[in-house]
Amino acid sequence: MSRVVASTAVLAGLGAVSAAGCGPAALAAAVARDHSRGSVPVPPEYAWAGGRDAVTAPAVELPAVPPDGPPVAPRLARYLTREGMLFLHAATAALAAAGLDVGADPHGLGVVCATAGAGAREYLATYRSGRTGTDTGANPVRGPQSSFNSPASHLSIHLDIQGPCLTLATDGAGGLVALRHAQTLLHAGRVAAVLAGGVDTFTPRTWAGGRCHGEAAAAVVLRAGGGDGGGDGGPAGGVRVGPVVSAAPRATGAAPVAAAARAALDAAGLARVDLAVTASIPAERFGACRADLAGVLDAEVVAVERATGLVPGAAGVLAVVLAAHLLGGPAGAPATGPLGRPALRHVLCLAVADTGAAHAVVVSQGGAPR
Amino acid sequence: MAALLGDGDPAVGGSDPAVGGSDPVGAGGVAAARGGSGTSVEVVVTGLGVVSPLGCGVGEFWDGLTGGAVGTGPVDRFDTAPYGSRNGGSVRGFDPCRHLPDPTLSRLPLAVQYAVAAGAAALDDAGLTGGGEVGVCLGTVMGTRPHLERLLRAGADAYADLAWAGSAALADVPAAVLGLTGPTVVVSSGCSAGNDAIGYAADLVAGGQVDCVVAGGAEELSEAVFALFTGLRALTPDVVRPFDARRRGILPAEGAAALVLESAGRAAARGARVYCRVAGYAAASDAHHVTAPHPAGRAVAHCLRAALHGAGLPAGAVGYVSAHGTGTPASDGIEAAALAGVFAGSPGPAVSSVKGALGHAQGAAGALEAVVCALALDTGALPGMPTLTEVDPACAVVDLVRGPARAQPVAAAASVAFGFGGSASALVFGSPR
Repeated sequence: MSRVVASTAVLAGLGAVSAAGCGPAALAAAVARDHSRGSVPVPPEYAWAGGRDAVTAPAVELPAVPPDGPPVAPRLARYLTREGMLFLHAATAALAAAGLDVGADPHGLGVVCATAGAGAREYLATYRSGRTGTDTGANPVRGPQSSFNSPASHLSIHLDIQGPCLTLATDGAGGLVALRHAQTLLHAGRVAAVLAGGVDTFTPRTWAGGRCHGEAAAAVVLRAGGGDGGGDGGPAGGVRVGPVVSAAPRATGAAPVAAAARAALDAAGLARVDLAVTASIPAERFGACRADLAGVLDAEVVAVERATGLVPGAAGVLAVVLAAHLLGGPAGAPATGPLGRPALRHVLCLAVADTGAAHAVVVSQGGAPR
Repeated sequence: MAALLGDGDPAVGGSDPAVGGSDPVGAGGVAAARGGSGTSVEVVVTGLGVVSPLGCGVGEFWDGLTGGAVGTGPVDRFDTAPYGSRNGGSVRGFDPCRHLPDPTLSRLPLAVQYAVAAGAAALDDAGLTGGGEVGVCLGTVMGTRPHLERLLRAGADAYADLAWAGSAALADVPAAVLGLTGPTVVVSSGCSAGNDAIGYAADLVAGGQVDCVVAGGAEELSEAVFALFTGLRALTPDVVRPFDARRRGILPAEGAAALVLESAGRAAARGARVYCRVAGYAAASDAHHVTAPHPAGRAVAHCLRAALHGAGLPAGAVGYVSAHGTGTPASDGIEAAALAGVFAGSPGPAVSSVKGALGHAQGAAGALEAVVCALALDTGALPGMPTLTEVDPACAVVDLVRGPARAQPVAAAASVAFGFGGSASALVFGSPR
């Protein structure tokens, strides 16, 4: 169990692109549709793809141009990888919602992006180009995008973000690991705000093991601000993100999911939450996950992955985006659309890594008690 | 539109506020560049582990580096004929039976094996072999992807064995094998990833999230990287010559390095040997170009100034800088000018790059160079550059260490790194208090 010391952060902006559509409202609508169709507990057979040849994983229908942020130069649009373009969409939406003027303090904004597979296709193309004597993959434009950090780097170049630009190579719970990293940057005082997110698209893993992976990107803008009621710099309303808590399978006798959920509640000073959102629970683990959570929570559980598929890098942040949207977003007005309810105040977001390690965070309206 | 901060960043601009040396933040460990609030615990290095082209083990590594050895040479793992060089930095002397706690781990990607071996050696060096609540933070550029090449070359079904597809294994496997239950993370910020992993680990300890972290980097020799740098015309045909007028480019390399970072209080309580303190860390981005560094080296200059500011050290206190020094025509001159700018007005530190001896181990490079800084502080010897014979006038603006080594005790050392995508980071190490 990780020790909880990072303080609460204010969520200043959010963005998401997924098979559910662009934006948090589309995500909420898609989750609600699926959620209303399925029963709770969610049946384990929600994994749609059954094998390597399946091609039914959820894909993003992406607008050619990000609706927010500065226009993408034609050359960038031509050579940017799909992961890069997805992340650009989500990140520019989150930054626009946050109303940050990057140019006023270009070192004050950091970027933390989680991904499991960014650049994997370019890597393989580069390798094959060397073997075959062609330069298709190894050309100076595509080749450098064969490592994990291409989406975040292109974002920093596109928007002139000169603060720390970090990429985490993660597995199923990447988004929440990025969020944890972002909170550490804020807690250490390295930046005034962090764009934390994740992205992944299809890789050979997509169809492995009968799991249904999707493609998506999600991003949130966090600013430092602990306590409740905006007492230390944050607005009185809006949405706050508590410390991300992690539980390794080896660290505790309790199931990591239950341990992480309990610790996240404790960190927020709460006895209960109103809703739980999971984001990266594979079908074969979902029943056990729900059973573990039942011992800790008396709350409805909704699964983002039912609308988006499993998206390792973005998963946890997709859950946070949904939670924040339902809580009213940065403006603090509770959503009244799908899944929305006026009394919603605290939402637990949960993601589980391939190792079984669980990560959890409480997202609250108006401010967590701690 | 709201500005991010109401005040300016003290670490930017033409003047260096750290030169005054009066920053009280520096009294606390890995102080943040912006005067953050979460840094109260001093972080020290108590263990080192190395897997490198100069051998496996800190002694072999350091003897080679300070003895003028060059670890690069012909690569025999794959056919290099299609590429711009036949040379690279292959790990020497790695024996799974000797260096891994469990020899069956040899079926895993080499980068994972190197990470386990370096981590185990570092923990052993620190006298911490019982596992427990220890984190693992590893940096990498290509992660486990080179394992895919091995599968394809062997004619195996690359989609049946997906060990190459999960680079989180670089931290998760060492944690599992060594019984470590703290947070795990793999940082992949380009060729500054090793520095960033150590900096992040230091923040975890300084912020009180965990008392001890195994931090470093790991990389496996990659044929795709040979193809990539051939396409960029940035491979040297023979040896890497950092800061030399005849430098032609890099040689890809592999290896791993791990440092045990722990709180000074915990280290003192258990009577641990302390190599050095992690005094400052900062990261920044050029935001300029995917492969070309900013012509003024703005990110590397900014993060070095910020790391010094965070450490509470004047520029003149730094006696040695382990430079990124890749040996490419494009970047060495920019780096030298950036360093000269940061240290202007002070005597200026000795500067060297170990990439002439090791090649460029990408995500592991920063970690290997952090070990170099720790050993330089510990031994009073600075590694030189045996391949440097004719200093590029553009690089002569700093005090380059020529020959195999220089005997020069220093009280503070810095390591800078930057890479594709524009990320740069700097670490500042200080002698134990």
